[in-house]
Amino acid sequence: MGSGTSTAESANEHDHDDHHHDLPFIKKYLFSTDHKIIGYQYGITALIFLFIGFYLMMVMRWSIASPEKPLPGILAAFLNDAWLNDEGRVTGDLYNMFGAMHGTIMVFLGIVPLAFGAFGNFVTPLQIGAPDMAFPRLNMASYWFYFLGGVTMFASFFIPSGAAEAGWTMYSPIATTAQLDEPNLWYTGQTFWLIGMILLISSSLLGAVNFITTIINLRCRGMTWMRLPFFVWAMLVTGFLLLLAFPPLEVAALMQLMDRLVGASFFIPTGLNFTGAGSVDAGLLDVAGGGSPLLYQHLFWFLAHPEVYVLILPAIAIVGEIIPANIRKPMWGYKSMVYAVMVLGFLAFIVWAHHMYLTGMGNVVSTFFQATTVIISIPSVILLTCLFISLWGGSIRFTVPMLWALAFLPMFGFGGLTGLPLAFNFIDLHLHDTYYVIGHFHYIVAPGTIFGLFAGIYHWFPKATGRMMNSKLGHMHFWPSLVAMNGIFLPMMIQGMSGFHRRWYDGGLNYEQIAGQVLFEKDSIFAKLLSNVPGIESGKTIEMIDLNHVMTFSVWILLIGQFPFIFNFIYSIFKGKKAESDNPWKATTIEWLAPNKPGHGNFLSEPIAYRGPYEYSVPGHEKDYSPQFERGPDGIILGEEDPMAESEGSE
Amino acid sequence: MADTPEQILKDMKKYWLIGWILLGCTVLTVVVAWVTPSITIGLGIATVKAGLVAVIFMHLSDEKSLIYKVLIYTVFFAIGLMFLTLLALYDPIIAPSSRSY
Amino acid sequence: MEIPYEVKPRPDTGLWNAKVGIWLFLASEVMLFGGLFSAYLFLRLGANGEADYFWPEGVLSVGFGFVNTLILILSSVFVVVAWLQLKLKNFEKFRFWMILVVLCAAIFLVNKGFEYAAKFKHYGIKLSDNSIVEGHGIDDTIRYEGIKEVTIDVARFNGEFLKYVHGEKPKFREILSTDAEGKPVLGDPIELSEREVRNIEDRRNDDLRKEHLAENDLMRSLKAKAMARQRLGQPISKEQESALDYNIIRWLPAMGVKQLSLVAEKEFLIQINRKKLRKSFPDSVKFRDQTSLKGTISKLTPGLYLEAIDRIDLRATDSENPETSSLVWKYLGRESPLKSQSEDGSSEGDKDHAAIGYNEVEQKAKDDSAPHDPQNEAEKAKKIFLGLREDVLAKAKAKDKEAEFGKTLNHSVLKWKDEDGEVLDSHAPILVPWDDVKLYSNFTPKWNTYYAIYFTLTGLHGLHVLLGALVLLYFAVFGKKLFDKDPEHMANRVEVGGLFWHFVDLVWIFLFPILYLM
Ligand code: HEM
Ligand SMILES: [Cu+2]
Repeated sequence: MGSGTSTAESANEHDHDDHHHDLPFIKKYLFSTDHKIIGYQYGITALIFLFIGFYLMMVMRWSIASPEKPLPGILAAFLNDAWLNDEGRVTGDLYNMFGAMHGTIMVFLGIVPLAFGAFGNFVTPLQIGAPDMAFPRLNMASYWFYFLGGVTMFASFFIPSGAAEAGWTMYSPIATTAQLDEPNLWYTGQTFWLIGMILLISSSLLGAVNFITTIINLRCRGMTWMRLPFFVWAMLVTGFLLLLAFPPLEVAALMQLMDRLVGASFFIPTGLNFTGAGSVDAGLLDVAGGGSPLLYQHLFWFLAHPEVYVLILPAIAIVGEIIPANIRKPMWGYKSMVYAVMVLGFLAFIVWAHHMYLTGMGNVVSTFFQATTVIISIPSVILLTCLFISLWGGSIRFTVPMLWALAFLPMFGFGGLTGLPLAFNFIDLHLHDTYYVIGHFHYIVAPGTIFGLFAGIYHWFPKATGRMMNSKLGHMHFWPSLVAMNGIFLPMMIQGMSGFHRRWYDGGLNYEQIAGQVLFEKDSIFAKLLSNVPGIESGKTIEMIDLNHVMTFSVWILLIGQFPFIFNFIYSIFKGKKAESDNPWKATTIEWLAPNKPGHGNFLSEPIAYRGPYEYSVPGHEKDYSPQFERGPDGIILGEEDPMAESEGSE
Repeated sequence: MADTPEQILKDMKKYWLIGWILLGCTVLTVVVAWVTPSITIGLGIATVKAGLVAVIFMHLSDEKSLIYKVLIYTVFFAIGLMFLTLLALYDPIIAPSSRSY
Repeated sequence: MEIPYEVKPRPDTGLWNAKVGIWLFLASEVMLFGGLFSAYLFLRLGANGEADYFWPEGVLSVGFGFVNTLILILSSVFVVVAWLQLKLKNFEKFRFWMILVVLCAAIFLVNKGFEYAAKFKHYGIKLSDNSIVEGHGIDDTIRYEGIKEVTIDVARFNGEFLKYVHGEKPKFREILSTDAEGKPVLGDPIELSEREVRNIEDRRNDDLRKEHLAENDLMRSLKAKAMARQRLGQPISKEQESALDYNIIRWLPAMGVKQLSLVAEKEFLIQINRKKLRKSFPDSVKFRDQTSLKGTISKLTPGLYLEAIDRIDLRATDSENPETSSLVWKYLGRESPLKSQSEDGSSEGDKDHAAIGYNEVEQKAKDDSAPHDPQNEAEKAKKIFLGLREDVLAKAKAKDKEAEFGKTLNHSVLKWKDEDGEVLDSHAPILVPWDDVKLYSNFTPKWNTYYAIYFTLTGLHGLHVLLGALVLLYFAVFGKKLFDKDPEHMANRVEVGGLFWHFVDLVWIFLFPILYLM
């Protein structure tokens, strides 16, 4: 089937999927086992959580920039009045709660489900030419575990204690002892968090088993390992990261739960003097002691470092798909990228203690983790470099997905490079727990991963809906987002280096020595420029703390920048321009063979991979792209005679 | 594994034999623990038993290479998790008082 | 639509889907138990560095563990046999062996249940000098009399303390304010209940809200006036000036009442299990909902009572001089120290005793029926323990190394022997004054990190056994249909279930030595 001709129509006529047409609504859309529907479910749920996380962050940023002003009505309208103090301001407790839940929601309920759950589910089987995931019912279970976990987390806002409030890392003993004065310990945000976490982890584990099995066993004819699109490779590695890194956190959550509920002391040291946070009395806890808070940190970071790669790999993978399609040229260094991602997946497991340099580790351990951390930046750089070099000499089409992908590269690069200084324990001594760290990883996750995800949404939207997203609105979404993201995170690096702690709810108001450092002299040009930002008086010396206004202002711009997207997304589903063919971007991977809005079973005829994934502008071919699924003059089916054609990538 | 009935019956004998060996090992562990409470011997026997279960009962003696790869990585990381956390426990930062300048 | 390779293996990988899936799942299980094992190591090795904590060894019944190990190993054999029978296309035999497996699982779980139950019935007390007594039959009721004042955290109050008021519930009067001389102004007597507190809260908040709104109105009008005058260039008064930067804030819950103080019409008495209290101070008691009771409090119960002692552990006793070990000196033997104190009239202990008859009857009965002399027994025990300790210290000194108290000071009471070889069958009850109780608990995760990891590991393992058994039972009972349709598919399923079962067995093989034997 030539992808130039339109089969979109034929797909929309429901001739090939009438059998699943009879399914009742609930089976078709709610308890569906179809990987695409599950992908949409993941996507929509995750987007909603992303917006909730965004809202929490806006409240926090208000508190940071204007700790002395009452929370404005727009923000206060959504929250329980009892959380504000009697002047209508955000309290430290509220800030802690929102901080912890912002991190949790963004990481575990927003990005990972969107990147791995939604894109992974929708794209992976299509790209390897499979009719569905290997275990469709497990796939459904995985979504519903995620949903339950999300509901549990979200419900914790509505119980009297409020949600968890001990940071997204939930370090013991502070997490174990938080909200300990509640009458019923089951009914506290901390406990809900742990239970929610256990559900989310179960979901991820089921998902990971399913993904890896699918990739290993359901590749279509001719799809050998080295013909897999890079996206699939990244999903495979991500799957292994989740599979092997999450169980220790599940254990840790379970043990913290025991500490909270039955008075065990896994993470409580002997003789912990508990000097009354909040309304809790000072004095010894009524527990045996003998446990170790460091054990929790080890178990947590054993997950959480691999988790950061779970956050970024899908985004790199999406960008890796979009770039070749929009430069009309093969990806540069496909093989090195595959090996790099495998090495990354391996090393990700042995760097975790770089988050714990300041916990009193000795030199031997520090040095080990310092070395591995520095080494792991090599594959990261290889990935980025390959993508950059790919651009060289391409005929770049600046489509909306490509814009996001292009912006992703420097943003991810910046985030990655700022990680290097942190890798050295002596520098980390200064930077640990400052805004520098916050800036470092937000550069990777926010303008990095989230840009990658937006790119993916614009890119695969026609496959999912048969319609294109509006590109004018796409531009209106992209440019403000790009500017605002940098307006938010660049000042963080500056503040961090000057010593701003990451958990100040008043933005440094009470820490004059740090907050009052001069950034720009009174009449310098930058000072004049910044005085345009609301909240900064004109004609004054710009101090470090004034950057808070820049960031908070940028947040509002970022918010406004998302409205075109929301509108575009909903509008285009129903009224967008029809995609002109099944392959509107003229791309080469197999998902573009499937009809738009693929039915149950995905493909109209058996897909076969005749060539590598990125054969653009092959000399001698008439078109500037030679899809994997087109035989053409030189296509061959590899790997049929030879059972173990190439080595497996099992991280 | 060939699936002829003869082969299957032979396997069945093998499994019973291994079962008896495992039971014997269990008795041995208890006896040894009685005589000398040595952690190494106890864990050593346990490892042998676990090995038998994995290799014979779970057919790891005859499995596809892909599964070996997955398991090697897993075991590697599991050991890494145990070993490195312990290393961190035994390598605390040097206390100032114990330094000799 | 059909998913490929559900039954037949894929040619190039040689595997069918579920086989890949189960091995991946088992890989994650390895990490799960790996995490727990590393926690075990961390806690065990870390514990032995602590001065006041020793890793308990040999506290589980090896018999139980041994039998359970045998059962699991047998069941593992049965599973493979069942699977082979299925391959021989012999469904009935398959069913037979599978049912045996499930039976094994059931026996295993019942065994575990007995083991757990025994643990729940045993208690330990850690004394303030870190010596440990273990036994069973505990009474931890505690009584306070002379309570008069009650302070309530309005938001949290759940009326729990009322449940523990002994005798008739008094009426309460709210302290509204204090007059010029510092004397409280009291409100009308009320029946205290959660409902009532809510009513008071509402009433109070209404008033406060009205006040707040009135002030807002006042300031708003002042502000308007001031702004008007400012516009006209007229001078403004101080009051108006301050109104200029007044922020109008709407009513917020944080502006409402937070605490209520009440006085009881007459003193009352509460009786409660110590565990249910959030905290107790010399002159006040605090509940989990932050309700605090005050008065001329005196504790009526002298202390924690343990009916029978099984084991004593003196290893961690921190005093350099073992002579002062509180355990040896004060509590061994069945005479309560408080009681004997009261006999020479030096304290009110006796009166307290008499007032509530706490344990007295029981204790008396024990004393009378006892064939031997408690005083003497305490003396003997002391001799044994102190002697052993001296021994160890002397040996250490001779070899110029640290004293290894090891098992020597970690004794089962039943095995006590004095120098003459006389066996002391002592099951003396003891009574430990509350001030000397550092921690008490039954043998649950709370008691120490050993039990914490023991329950977590075996609990999680037990859960695996249960789930695995249910799946296998399902195969045995409902497998016929699939077997008739596609025997190979059925064999595949059983193989996957079997793999899981072997893994569960494999985990237990490690659990047995590390928890029971070492
Ligand atoms: C180029 C390789 C990278 C290096 C060398 C690196 C290094 C580090 C180091 C040493 C820290 C600890 C800083 C501290 O707490 O004092 C850190 C924190 C962090 N990194 Fe990276 N990083 C890299 C890439 C990434 C990537 C790709 C992500 C993906 C999202 C990421 C996410 C994070 C997060 C979330 C934290 C902070 C966690 C917290 O404390 O809350 N990093 N990084
Ligand atoms: Cu890290």
